[in-house]
Amino acid sequence: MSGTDRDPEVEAEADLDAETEATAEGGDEPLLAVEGLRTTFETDAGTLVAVDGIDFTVSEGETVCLVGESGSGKTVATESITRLVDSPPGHIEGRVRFRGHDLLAMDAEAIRSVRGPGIAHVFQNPQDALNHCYTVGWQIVEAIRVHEDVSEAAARARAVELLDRVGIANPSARFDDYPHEFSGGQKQRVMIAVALAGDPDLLVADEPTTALDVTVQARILELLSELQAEFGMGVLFVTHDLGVVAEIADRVVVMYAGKVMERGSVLDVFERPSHPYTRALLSCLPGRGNEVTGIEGSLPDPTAPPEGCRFAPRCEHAIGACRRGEQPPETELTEGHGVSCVFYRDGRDPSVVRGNGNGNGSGDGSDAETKRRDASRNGSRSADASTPGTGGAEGSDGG
Amino acid sequence: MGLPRYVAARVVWAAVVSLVIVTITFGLMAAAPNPAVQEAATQAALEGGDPEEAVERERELRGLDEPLHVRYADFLRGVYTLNWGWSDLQNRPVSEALSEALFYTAQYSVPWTVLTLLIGPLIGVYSAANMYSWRDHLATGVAFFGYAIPNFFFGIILLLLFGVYLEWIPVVYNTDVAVFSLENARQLAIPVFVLVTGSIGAIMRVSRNESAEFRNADFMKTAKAKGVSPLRAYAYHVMRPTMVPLSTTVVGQLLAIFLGSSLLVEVVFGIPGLGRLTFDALIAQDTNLVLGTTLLFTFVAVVGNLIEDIVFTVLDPRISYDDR
Repeated sequence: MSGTDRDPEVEAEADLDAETEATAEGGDEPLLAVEGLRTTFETDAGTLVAVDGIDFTVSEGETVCLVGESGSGKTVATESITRLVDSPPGHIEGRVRFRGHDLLAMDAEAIRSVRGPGIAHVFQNPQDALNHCYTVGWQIVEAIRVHEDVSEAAARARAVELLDRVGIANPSARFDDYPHEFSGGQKQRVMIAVALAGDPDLLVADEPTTALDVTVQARILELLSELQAEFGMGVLFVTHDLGVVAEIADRVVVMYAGKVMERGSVLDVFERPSHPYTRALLSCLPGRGNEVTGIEGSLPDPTAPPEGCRFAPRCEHAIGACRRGEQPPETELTEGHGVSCVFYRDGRDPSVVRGNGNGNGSGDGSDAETKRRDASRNGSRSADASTPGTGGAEGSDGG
Repeated sequence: MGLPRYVAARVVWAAVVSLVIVTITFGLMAAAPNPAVQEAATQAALEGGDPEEAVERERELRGLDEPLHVRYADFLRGVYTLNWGWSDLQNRPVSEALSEALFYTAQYSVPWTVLTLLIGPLIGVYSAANMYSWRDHLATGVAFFGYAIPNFFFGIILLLLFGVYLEWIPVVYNTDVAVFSLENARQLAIPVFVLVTGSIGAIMRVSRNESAEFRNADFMKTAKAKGVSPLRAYAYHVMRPTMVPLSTTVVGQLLAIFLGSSLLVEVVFGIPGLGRLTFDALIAQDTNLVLGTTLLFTFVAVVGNLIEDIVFTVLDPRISYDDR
């Protein structure tokens, strides 16, 4: 493209950097702070609420996992951050602060300068994420040259370097190959190279390994964690695979039907799962008795969500209070560990949910340690590819 | 293997196809009675001579008494050296009549083809980008109108309006004006407009539907996530894959209109081009000239399909050149 339309972008970026410094001095605001994010779609069946007022943060260099079964709104939530959701029909409300800037209030040009160098995305299905008409090199070079005024040759050199870094053998020769000449895992590596082209501060990885062969999944995860350390990126990782979560997450946000059910450090969530939904998810891990049946019932209709707690219709502990009003506000159990469940409020007894003696294989503190180790082991086992099918919430899909 | 070899193979095939067509034409001609011979017989009978003898003389004169393979070789040599015989109607060689007609046809068909190929996909992609808006509906309406209304009828209406009532354009085509002149542009504007509206509809619809598929593709999301502007995303990521299926329909579309509509449009506007020449030759039963014009259209079709094949493979890198 011409130089004339690049200039404002450069300015916008410079602007961004200046303000970033100001806020960095001002206090310890996280890299990304999502507040009250609500994404709706106008459909023929009415207004579909995909994400309904969620909050979460990602700090520099931190890995946050968004967990939940398919259809929980995880993908829409991540794509709302950089406004990749088409609007119309989509409509995004709330605040998304990235390095002190509200991404939702930016004009189209300013948000474009954030996409890539600020926040980069890796998507679920590498088969379709690359344009079949262009060489992979062209697509990496495009990611570089859209933001930076560098020569074709310099961009090419950097693209080859990136291909090499993400583990594509013989990168300078493969630069001119088309996506269909790569395997699924290699395509995902190329996608990661595209994402890294702008040296992002935050990498949003939306189920990057789901579409891949189990033998390849582990290597991609390994690559991502290496790159995270090397580039110092924050990572927002979407998955329904609890084995992966146990392996890579610093903090976990559990989503269900567009709402946050529970959040906390990976230890909190695996050792002291507090929300019935989190507990149900964990019990779907292999070796926990529930992996065959999954969670009974299915996700509520997103055009007409139920009153009260979204999970109440499927929750075995649900009482009258669960089906009234709004989703219960989050109760902070310990520092950073929150749960949205009525049993932790108004003097009710949380042990009903924590299940001393309910049949679902949930336990108290004493076997919580085993649980995390189990989950972690499931993760690494799937990583070693000795078992097909990873321990995850998949079992609950469409139940 | 590779592109050069693929192109070479395709060119050879095109040559084979043209040879087959020429051979079939020769077969039909050889099987049919020659009107000139019959005419000679009738003439001889009327003048009291011997019809048999006259037929013999005429056949000898025209080389029809030679064995079939000699006549075939002679025919082939004639076709491929552009020695296409004598036109009784025009009283000059067929090739000369054709090249002059082609000169006038090219004057409107070149701008027509270029405009169709430029505007059609552009409006189609624009329509897809603004799908179900009033702009899309307007473009769709124009496309259907142009597609539905017969070109010659639309031509007559416009000629009546702009030529007769408003007198903005000359009613009778003037062959004396220079090719690159304002007068020529003015007298060709309406024929070109009529043909473009006729051909643009189908191309616009195909590109609209194809790009509607690609604009929602995952790679468009990737492009957006990379920070690519919408204009660039449409120009590179939607337009390019759209051209692949489009390239397979364009040649057929244009040829159909070239053969059918351009004839009527030439008759309506009085352009002495290939369409008019074919029409006149058919009416006058000038066999050589009819043969010449049909062969010319056939060769245009063969070359058009050749170009289509090559463009298709160049546009879509996933198509392999091997074993084709």
